[in-house]
Amino acid sequence: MKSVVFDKKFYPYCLVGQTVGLSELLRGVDGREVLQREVGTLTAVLSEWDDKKVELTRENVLRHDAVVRQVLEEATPLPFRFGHLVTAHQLESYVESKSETLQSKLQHLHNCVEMSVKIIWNREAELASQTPETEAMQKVGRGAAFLMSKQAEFQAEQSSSSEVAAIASWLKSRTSGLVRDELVVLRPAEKLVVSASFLVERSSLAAYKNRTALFDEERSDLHFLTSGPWPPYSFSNNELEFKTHLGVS
Amino acid sequence: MNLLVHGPPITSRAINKRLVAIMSSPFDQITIDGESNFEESDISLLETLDHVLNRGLVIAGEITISVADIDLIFIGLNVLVSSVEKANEVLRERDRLTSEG
Repeated sequence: MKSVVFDKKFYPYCLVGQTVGLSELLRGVDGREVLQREVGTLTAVLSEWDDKKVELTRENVLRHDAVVRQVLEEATPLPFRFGHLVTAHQLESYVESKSETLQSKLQHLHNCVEMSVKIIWNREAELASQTPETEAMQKVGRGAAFLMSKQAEFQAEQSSSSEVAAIASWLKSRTSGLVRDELVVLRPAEKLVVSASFLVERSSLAAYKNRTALFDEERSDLHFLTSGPWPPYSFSNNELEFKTHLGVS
Repeated sequence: MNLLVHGPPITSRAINKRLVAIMSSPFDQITIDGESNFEESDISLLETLDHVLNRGLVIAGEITISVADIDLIFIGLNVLVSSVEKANEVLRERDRLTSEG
């Protein structure tokens, strides 16, 4: 394994605790060769890069995922989000400054995969019944009508939030004991009300799948989209999150 | 209805025109046919986009994809919701016709 050469640009796919066996046929983003480089105490899986940007195409996104998936077959990776270009120096600085956190995260994720559950709740009829009476609003002044409308909106939001929280609690209770960690995002204002990621040990995967297969029968009022196993994309960055003002999580 | 997507996402299926639109068009150019139904591979791709573009390690200042691209993924998931609802309607209708027959 070669040492990192400074000032060259790289496209990183993931960090991993040890060198893994990658197929010689494996090609990364833009069809580039996939390499492994020591970075501090970790190994970075990456491609050399000589362009200024990475094209966001379907093919490139799938290739990024394919590389991380191949690493997942043998080890537990910390995947990078698509679209990074870094110099070796930047990568080394990052790993060095976050060394303890990255090691601890690798330990936490060890021998686990990510499973995803999205819940869609169609409640258009319910929401329609919660809209304010337009007739009553017409009888009052514009200011009062506006306040009535806002109050109705607020009440609907509160009601929706508590119902979605109850759905999330149910989901957590049904996966309890089978997952090492979980990230559950609630979106009461949307149809896709719950987006959950579960960290599941490989040995518990069959039991987890059996459990989620029962969701349909237990909650016929909801639609479920379950997927996985994924590399632990959602659990790689919790404490390392680069906060932006872009609404990106 | 349970749309179950297991295993590696698609790698060699023919490119779906609607998904090409999602991946390459600006927000206001995306039009979705209300009658269209997404296949499992389409949903799998949307899930892949959600994971690969929205999650994972980020080195501050080095991400190269733009905000608009991330918004496109959000659009993709909304499309997914619409398609699931549509599929559910079709299933309900099929059940109704079966019971009547």
